[in-house]
Amino acid sequence: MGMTITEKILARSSSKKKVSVGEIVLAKPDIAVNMDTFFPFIIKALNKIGIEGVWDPNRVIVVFDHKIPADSVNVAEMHKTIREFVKETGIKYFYDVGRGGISHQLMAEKGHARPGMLYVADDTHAITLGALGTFAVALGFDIVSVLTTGKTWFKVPESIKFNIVGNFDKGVMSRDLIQRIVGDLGSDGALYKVMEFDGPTVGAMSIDGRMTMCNAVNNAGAKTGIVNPDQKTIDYVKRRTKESFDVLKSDKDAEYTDILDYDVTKLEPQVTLPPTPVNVKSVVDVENVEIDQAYIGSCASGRMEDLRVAARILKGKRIHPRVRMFIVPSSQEVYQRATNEGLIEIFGQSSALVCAPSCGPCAGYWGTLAAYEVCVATSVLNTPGRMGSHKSQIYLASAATVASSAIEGKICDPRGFM
Amino acid sequence: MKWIMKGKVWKFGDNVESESIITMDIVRLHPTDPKYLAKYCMVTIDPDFPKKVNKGDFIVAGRNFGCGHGLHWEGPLAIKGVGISALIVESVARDFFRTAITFGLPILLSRGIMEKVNQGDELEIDLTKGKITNLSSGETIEADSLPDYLVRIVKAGGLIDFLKEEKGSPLF
Repeated sequence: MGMTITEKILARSSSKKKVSVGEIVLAKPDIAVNMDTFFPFIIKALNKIGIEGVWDPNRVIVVFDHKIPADSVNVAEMHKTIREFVKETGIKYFYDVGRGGISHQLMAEKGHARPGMLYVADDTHAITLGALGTFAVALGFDIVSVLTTGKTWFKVPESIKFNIVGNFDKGVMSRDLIQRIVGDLGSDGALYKVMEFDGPTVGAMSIDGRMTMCNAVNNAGAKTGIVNPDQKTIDYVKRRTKESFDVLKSDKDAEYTDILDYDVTKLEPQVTLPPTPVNVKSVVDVENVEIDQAYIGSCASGRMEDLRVAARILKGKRIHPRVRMFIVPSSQEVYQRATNEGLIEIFGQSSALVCAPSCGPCAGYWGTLAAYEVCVATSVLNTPGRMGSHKSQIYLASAATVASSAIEGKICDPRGFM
Repeated sequence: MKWIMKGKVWKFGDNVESESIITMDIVRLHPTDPKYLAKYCMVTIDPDFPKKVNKGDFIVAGRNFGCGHGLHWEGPLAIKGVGISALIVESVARDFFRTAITFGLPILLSRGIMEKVNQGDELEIDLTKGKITNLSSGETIEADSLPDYLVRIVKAGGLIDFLKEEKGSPLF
């Protein structure tokens, strides 16, 4: 019996020939990515344990992306503590304010996430990097185990395979597909499993699109998402780094708990309604919900593919007078490329505010909502209070849907704008 | 290694969200004191829960316990702070499970537990054997035993204490 890509990566990193589903293995990640909000607590933990330095300063990466720029003395002191720690321990890759962006985008851009890797991060959306053929796991505070011993425990997961065929209608994106899949599965439909995305539609997807797919799988309870690396993956990674990598793929006779078929030919744009990320309907059923705020960004959908479609829709237009719109490129590189392509000018002229690459509104740090306000966003989660008041409402959708909704002042089918 | 606990059941339903255990407005303050967090534990579901729980009690819940943003340590710390010594659930969200283990809160998985246990029942649980005895009904219930490596982490009191103990061992 063959192995899934997940089993192969876990076997390799736990020095075993084979692993069994349900087994607990001690495995060694290839890199461990840390963001700013957890890190001061991690430093305290390392002091409590009595450890000097980190396991491997070339494999521990630190990115400031959540609370940037610092908006209070507390946060500024927090950042200062982290900078001092990075200097003391010789951590090689530190992406300070202005030098990077959202970690999950950055790790792809900088070539740190490569096929065949066991990739871990403290933040929930580490799973995004499964798009590059890594087994990407969110550890939370357990990352302390990796920073000290270079390893931690993993429960070997089962996998669900998704065979995706068909071409997207104009204005329909990979975001709509993953929202539909999450809606179909429900909050524990993929509990503790890996969602492995396959089929010609995935093959045709950009890396941006694949990252959007993997980013949302936790909403269905999945451990992570993964895409077997293909030539597109290899070309992307080779453009960004000279570091080596292993192209591991699922065997043809690997075992899956389910094989689910999706045909996107007739897929309509999807909207996720409050108060949960699994409450997913076609945009056709949600049109005419009036909005106060529109937001394009986050590690889910703040990439070139998203900004390009938004610019195409917003070009020469003004957003609705009631609406304020934030567009947040997910990294400095995305921001620069968007500038070069003239997208930033289009956004500014539409009356959208283009903001610093960071997590920002997604986690409620700024661009917050008052009671009874409604936001349509490309963020990752729509639970009450996520973006401000517990009495505000968040609808999740693709960049295309958010852009068209911003113009109309209500949730709107983007296909009419294409 | 033997590890047996006895306590009273506090029963909850399916899909208890991490954000219901401790809400986001408190999480954003990043508190780390279990006694502080205990005051807010589960109050959006049961406002009097912190006052009613006794040290050593259990939470029994249905599917997908801790779903949503399970990597926030505030949830498991609040549950420990309020006196709960273990969770017995139908199934658990993976992020919450890892966070619970990391902060020394044991979780047993037991399919069908919701039908076999009532609010207020007294249970005796054996974490290393995966056995639950419902002392109120007399029934013996099967559970998945907690894997050895995770037992070691939880028994030490959580990851930090575990790693302190293991310093100098081959683990490092």
